[in-house]
Amino acid sequence: MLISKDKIAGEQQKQEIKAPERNVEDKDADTCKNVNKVNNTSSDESNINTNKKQELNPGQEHNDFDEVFKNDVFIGDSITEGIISYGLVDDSKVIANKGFTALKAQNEVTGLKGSAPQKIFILLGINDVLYDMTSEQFIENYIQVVNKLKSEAPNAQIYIQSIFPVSNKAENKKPRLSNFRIDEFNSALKQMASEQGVYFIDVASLFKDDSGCMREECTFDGIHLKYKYYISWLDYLSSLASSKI
Amino acid sequence: MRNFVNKIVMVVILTIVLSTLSACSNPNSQNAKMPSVQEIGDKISQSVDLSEMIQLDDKKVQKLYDINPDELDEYWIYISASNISAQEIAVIKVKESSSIESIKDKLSERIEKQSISFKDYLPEEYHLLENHILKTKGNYILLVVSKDADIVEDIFDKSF
Repeated sequence: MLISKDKIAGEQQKQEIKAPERNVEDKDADTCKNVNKVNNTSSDESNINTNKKQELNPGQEHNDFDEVFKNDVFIGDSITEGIISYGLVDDSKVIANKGFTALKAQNEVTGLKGSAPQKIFILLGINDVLYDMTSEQFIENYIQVVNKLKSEAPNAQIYIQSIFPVSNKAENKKPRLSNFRIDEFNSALKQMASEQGVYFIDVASLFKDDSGCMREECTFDGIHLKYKYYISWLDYLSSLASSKI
Repeated sequence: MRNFVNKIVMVVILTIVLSTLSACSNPNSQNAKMPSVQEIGDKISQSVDLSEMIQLDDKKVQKLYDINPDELDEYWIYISASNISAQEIAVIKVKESSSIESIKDKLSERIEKQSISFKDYLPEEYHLLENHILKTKGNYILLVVSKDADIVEDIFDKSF
């Protein structure tokens, strides 16, 4: 499951954690406007399960996510807010609001000093892509969030999650919200995570179809996950938590 | 002999009167029309599309509504399976009539929380929340946030 481990400044590690990929044999037969060429073609030698078709097995909550993530915090936009909407993790462990960008999130990342989380999972960026932010501006704002978290929770492991893809329908409906832009932002996030000495998790691959779009069965509106795919997402994150990376 | 006949008539009349009164106060009597919550839910599901909704269990009722399921006799609750939709329908029957107001308050708090979440981001969903239906009938409570709220309310009303 781990991809790489590099020492930074003698202390902090940077890691890229890649979701098990699905078969990507037919990359040229894309129905999306643009195909993610960055993540799907990675051949990093430490990526486990590469090229194995990922079964999401959505549906039943077999994990007690409250227990699994009892020492952790989630930060994000409406997608992360769904974790509260479905009562998957206690409200106090989630800092998320509809419409959050990296810039808006900066002001909301407070009050962590007392809770001393072990892991912080961040998922931001879809609104930045939608609001026509450049990837440079986005990364600049994101670094501020990371720095604030480092200062608020110096002992926490910070996990930056890749931005989820959108479906082909969503791309057509909102041209600014293209998978090409999302991939560009994700590449920038990966680079930034490495520079900042925090983890990067490629969760986007979990929900991609063969052409790099959000799998239609995972979503109603092409952007947000259906309830049962939250289980898949949190199962994946909990597998990271249990691997004690 | 005549007195004996009168006594028999009196007893028969008394029996009829008592059994009528008893029927009025018996919650299981057909005259009282105490439908099961599942019955009401079934009728709703025949008229409203629930394919993009999920049904809540005890754990979720406790977590999302802060209601102890032990206080409920029966419940049938659906919320949207996507968190960008505010749609939800709850039919609840409480065990004790004394708890009806507190349960209703919990449902109001839920609507308030949802309203804050949707207000600035999804005005159409916020509009549905603003026009929610929250009403009681005996030990029953109905909460509806839906474009089909009128249909659901009508089914609920006609169930009694």
